[in-house]
Amino acid sequence: MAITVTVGLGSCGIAAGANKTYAKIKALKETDKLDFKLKKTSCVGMCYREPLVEITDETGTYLYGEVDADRAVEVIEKHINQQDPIRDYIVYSDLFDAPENDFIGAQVKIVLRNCGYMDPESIEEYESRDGYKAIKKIAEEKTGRDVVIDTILKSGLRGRGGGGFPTGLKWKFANANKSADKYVICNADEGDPGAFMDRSVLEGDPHSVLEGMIIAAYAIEATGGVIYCRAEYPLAIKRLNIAIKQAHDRGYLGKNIFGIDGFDLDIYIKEGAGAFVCGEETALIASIEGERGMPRKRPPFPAVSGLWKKPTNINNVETFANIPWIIIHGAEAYAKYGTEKSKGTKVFALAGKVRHSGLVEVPMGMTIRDVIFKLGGGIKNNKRFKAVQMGGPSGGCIPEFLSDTIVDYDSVNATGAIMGSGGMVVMDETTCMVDVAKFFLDFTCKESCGKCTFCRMGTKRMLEILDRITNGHGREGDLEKLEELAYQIKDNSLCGLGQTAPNPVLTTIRYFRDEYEAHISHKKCPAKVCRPLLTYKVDEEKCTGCMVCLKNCPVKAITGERKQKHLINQDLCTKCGVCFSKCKFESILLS
Amino acid sequence: MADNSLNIILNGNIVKGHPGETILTLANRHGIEIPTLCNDDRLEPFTSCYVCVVEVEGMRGHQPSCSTKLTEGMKIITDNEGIRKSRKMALELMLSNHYADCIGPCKQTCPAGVDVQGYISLIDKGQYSEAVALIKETNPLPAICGRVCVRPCETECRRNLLDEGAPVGIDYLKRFASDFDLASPDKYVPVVKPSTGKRVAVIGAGPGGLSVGHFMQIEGHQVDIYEAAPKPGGWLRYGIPEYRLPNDILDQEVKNITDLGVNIFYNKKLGENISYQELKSTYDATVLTIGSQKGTGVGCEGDDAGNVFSGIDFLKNMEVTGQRYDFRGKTIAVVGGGNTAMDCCRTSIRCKADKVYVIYRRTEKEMPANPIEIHESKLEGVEYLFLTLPKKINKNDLGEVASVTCIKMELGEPDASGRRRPVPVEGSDFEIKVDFILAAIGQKTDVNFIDDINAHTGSGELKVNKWGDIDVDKSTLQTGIPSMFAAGDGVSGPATIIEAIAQARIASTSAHQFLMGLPLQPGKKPFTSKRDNFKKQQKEAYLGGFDTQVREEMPTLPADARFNFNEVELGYAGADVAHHEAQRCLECGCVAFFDCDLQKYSNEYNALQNSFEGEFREYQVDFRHPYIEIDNNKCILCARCVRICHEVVGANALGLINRGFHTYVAPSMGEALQDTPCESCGMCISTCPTGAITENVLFKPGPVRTETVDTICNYCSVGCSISLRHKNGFVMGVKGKPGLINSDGNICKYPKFGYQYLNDLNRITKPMLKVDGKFEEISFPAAFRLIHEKIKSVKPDENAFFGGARLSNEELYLIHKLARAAAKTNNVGSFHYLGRGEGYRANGEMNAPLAEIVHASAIYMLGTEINRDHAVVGFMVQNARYLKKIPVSALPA
Repeated sequence: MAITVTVGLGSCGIAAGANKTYAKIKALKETDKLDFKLKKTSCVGMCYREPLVEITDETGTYLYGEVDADRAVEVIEKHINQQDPIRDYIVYSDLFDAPENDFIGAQVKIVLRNCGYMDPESIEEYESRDGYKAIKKIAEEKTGRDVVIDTILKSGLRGRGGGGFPTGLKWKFANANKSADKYVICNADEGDPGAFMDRSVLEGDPHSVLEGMIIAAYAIEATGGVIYCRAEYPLAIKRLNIAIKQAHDRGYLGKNIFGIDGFDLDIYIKEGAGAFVCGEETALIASIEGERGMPRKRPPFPAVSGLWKKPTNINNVETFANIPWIIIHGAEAYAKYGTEKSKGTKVFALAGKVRHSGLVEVPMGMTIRDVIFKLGGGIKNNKRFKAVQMGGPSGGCIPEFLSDTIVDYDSVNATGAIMGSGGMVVMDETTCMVDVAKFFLDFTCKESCGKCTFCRMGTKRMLEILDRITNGHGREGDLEKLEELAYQIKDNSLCGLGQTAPNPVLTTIRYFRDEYEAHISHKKCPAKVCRPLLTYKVDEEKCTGCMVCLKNCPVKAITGERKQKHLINQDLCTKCGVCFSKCKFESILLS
Repeated sequence: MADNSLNIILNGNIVKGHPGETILTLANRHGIEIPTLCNDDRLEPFTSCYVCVVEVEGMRGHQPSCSTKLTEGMKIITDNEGIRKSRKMALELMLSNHYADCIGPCKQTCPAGVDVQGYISLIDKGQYSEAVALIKETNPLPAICGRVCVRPCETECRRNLLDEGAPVGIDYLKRFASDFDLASPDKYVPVVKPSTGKRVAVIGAGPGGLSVGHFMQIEGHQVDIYEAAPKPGGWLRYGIPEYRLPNDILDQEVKNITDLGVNIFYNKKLGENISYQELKSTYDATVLTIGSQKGTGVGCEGDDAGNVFSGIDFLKNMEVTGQRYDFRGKTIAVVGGGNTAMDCCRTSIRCKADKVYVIYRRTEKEMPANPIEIHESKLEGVEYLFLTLPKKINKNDLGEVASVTCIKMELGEPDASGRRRPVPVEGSDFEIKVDFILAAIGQKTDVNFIDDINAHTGSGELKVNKWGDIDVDKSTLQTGIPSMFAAGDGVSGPATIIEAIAQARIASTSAHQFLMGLPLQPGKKPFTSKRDNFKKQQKEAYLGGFDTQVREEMPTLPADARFNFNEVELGYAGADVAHHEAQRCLECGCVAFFDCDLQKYSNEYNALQNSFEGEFREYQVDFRHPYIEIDNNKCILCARCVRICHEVVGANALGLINRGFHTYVAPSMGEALQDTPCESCGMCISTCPTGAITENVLFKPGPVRTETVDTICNYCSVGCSISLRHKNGFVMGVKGKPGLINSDGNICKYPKFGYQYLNDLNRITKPMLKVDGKFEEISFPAAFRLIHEKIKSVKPDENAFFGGARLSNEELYLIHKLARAAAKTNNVGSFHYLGRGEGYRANGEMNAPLAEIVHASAIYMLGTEINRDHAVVGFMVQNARYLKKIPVSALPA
């Protein structure tokens, strides 16, 4: 068996230098006339180990982590030329215990089944991995639309964009509305801070999304398809365009596709200009139509009156990526995973203070704790786990004591957070929860389209209150005012953005009220994050009088002689934290 | 036909709804008003303001009624505490970013709330009596106030920021209009309501009493004023010298009030020659407007000396006796720094004193007197001894004042009034020789009839407060006796005329409510948005935005012509001057004041502007378009303007820029509106619920309450109904009125902005006859006679009749009748459409009603610039195209 060398060239890999690694290996191969196949793939989810290089030979699979150009030379020399794998660099292998074997092993890969395992720019590779088999099966077996919809219904698949609406039901509604023109839209406007599931799927397996859309189009009799993808995902758009062209060339898009008479479908990409609200389906439709991206009142739902006022089905990237697998393996196989009301798997983007930041796909029903500790490897620097933000700016903070909550729509909702599209931002003891709430609210406030009064003005006023709390100007009654505004905004907003914008504030008040009160009443930030509330002092025991802090202080607030204890003048100190970060002896104290 | 109506439970009642109908329409159909700011029936529902929220059973949160469609069995509640709370908060959130003034600082500041901006607008148009009518809604003494008001309005006038220290001459303008009205044969006479049969006794004919007389008499009550002095006016006559307020002006304004039916009985002093016992038996209510008239002494050693008296006694004595003091060869010292001190020193000059000192313990800056008075007194030769306090009055052998020993002062820390407290400088004593000392230090209220009243009151008791003034309920001005009210200085202590008038109105309202058996409710203060709620106005914001304009100063007597009691201020010379000064008004108050929905609902829901403090957006007003001005400070982002331009007009000239808190409305691509596809139709103005998009007019728009005349637009053949808004014949704007053709009230730019010709004084409104090559005005009968003769002088067929194309059908019909039936000729026609082709006629004869446009399956435009020629029909086409996606094709003619 020939040796294959595969370099991970997802955005994460490229960011870590994988292009250089690839170029190096390619150069070595050419100059030394080495005999192996060099391939590209995308992200396998292990972003924290990028650049990743996988070598497969007759003995098995070896995944090398953190392979920069220099290490690539070493790996090629040892492993290819001397057939001597470098155990120290291997992070995963199917032959022996490698450090990240658990990371891969504990996952169930349905959505990510191809990500990191094939060249996303090759339709052949996709086809070799059961690609386009699902739609071909439908065509060959002449499966009725109702049967397809029924399969999806039975699989229990729910919308992975965050709403959790049963996908089969959505299709059923769209199918029920007859019209000469109908559309299927893929929502690839992933905008939550800290979420990158959709990007990885689009970059790693664009054809599976196309195939999902084709099946949906078949099921609802759509005549046109649009992928609404944010322009900030250039690589995803590039690979999608390649995939669309390849599909066209094969006759998988166009007229009478897959031999199904009258099944005409074209798909094009609409690049979004970066407005978060355009992830909301009615705003997304407005944006495709060339209007300002603002939501409108539902009903009518897009299934009745969507793009160009025609019946339209909108699903998220991850939802579509599930579809071919379900058709091939059957609804029961999918429904085998998960809980009573949440079936299948869910992809999470782990970020924040977690050791393994990256992508994981887990079966529904796993506890949040397991996701963070088993797959995520626990908290960085052995700090204490404090909370996890799920659902991005629309979601909420789940505190440590609720981390045995299982991953399913209803259990997560009960905590006040939401499943959302799958962002998990992990926080440790050094995270200030008021600051976190402020961060997310700042995001929604800026991303509000400005239409509804409560969302436009209410989030702004809430943010101003949070601002003053974190600046040490919190007042009695601020919490009540925040809560009053929050509930009013939730009750009186047109779209999900406004209806959920207060969630981060509400959940943090619910679980970390004492932290808010410390800011307001005692002007203290327990996590020592909110600078205006901190005092920097010199630890007289530890100070060596090295004068580093003194020289770096931008406002000359530190005095002292060489080898004498230094002193910080609190009246002058602007709490910039430079002394704290510059001191090599940990002798600047924060309180 | 199957009944496809829906069963809905609306506030507990079962009602029928139509499929596709929104909750808002259903509620309106059933007489339930739901507030909304972003909804306009001409437009598709949008849902942004969230003021129209209701509760629907089974639906989470509140539902916007404007866009929530009915479904079978829907249970709707349109009003409860939770809904009201949300509506109020929506309003308050909008108001927290509504950097705008409902009314100008002048009206905000005026104690009587006189609509200054409104009357300036009327003066601008030469409508002086209308201006007086507007003033008299809240102030019945404009000619008096036009002379002697302390003018808090002018202090606050924003012109000060622009033309340093030169506010609009508000008081001068008021005087000009009032003097005109007083002299006019058609002067303003308020309408007196039918008699209520109730009688009111008013004690004192000063400004407060006279005002109560005015306000209550026009409500239909009989007012009798009892005045202790032999003449009316109180302080106006006995305190203010004639060179400032001539008695004949006072008499004329008093006569205006007595002409309403108010009686004044003179030389009647309560407790002395008339008892409350009599009043009580005759009158249903009493209002005490007694003033605050007891002078206070100098308050130093020797102030019992002869020729030392209170300033007010000095002024009053001359008025009562008709004798002027003769101060020839004398030196007068006036002690005090208020307006009474000014009246005393300037009067002393007029009494020919050799030397007049004003002794004041602080500096000129702290003087409470009107600066113009200080200025004039200096011109007239008054000398000031600032930072000086009389310490001792030294007597001569006769016990009269010979000199006064004073001590110099210096300013220390600020006291309770905010002014720096004067502190004596030890050892700085000095002496000046004087012959008279006039103490103008303060006055006290004298309630010497209190025992008489309390002896005869049936219930309650009249009390005085710790300052010696009449004790009243602050909001209603009712005394301890239910039928007795009080107003003016007697309540407040020495204050201003305008404050007495303001109180008189409150007391009159309360007394009226009392008489009519209504609960006593002080007028609710209407919601007022204020820029000052956000930040203090600074001149930087005004400089450059407006031109500076020199103030029309008041012409005065030359200083050397003032040794008499002739009025010093001469009044504006004429209408041009008044017009010029009126033009200086910056129109700070909002022109949408009378029809702003935001204000209306803010009132209704008791919304406050400062419930949410925080950042607010400040924008430059866009004046670039000749007819349309855009003030984003007032915008609530309902996007109605943007949508009407898109959905109905089709011009897409406006858009929403930015997002979230930073969103604003602007012409597309940041251009001036006139450089976009804007049709200048003004539809945006017609839909704006606030004053954010308004008509940019050349005249002062007020706002003032207008009357309307409904008519048909005569610019084209469509025949849209319009309403002309006018004030006494001056057209101030045009609105569309739902008519046969324009059933949604839409109109185009021609009627909207093309009405200025109606205000043109050179417009021909009478028949003109050309005599020797020149037109001369003749009467209508003469014209008719002439036409009659001319027609009869030739054969019938030699006559031809041409009707103007802009006449109405009815008028054209009459012309045709005149021609055929009376003149017996068939030569009838019009020039207008000659040579415009047959197409017009054929088209017209098809008689397809315009309302059918919306049912067309395709629309073809044949050789018409429809948006130019018949824009309202163009709107119908565009709206059909927008709503129903009806294809529209333009074919060249």
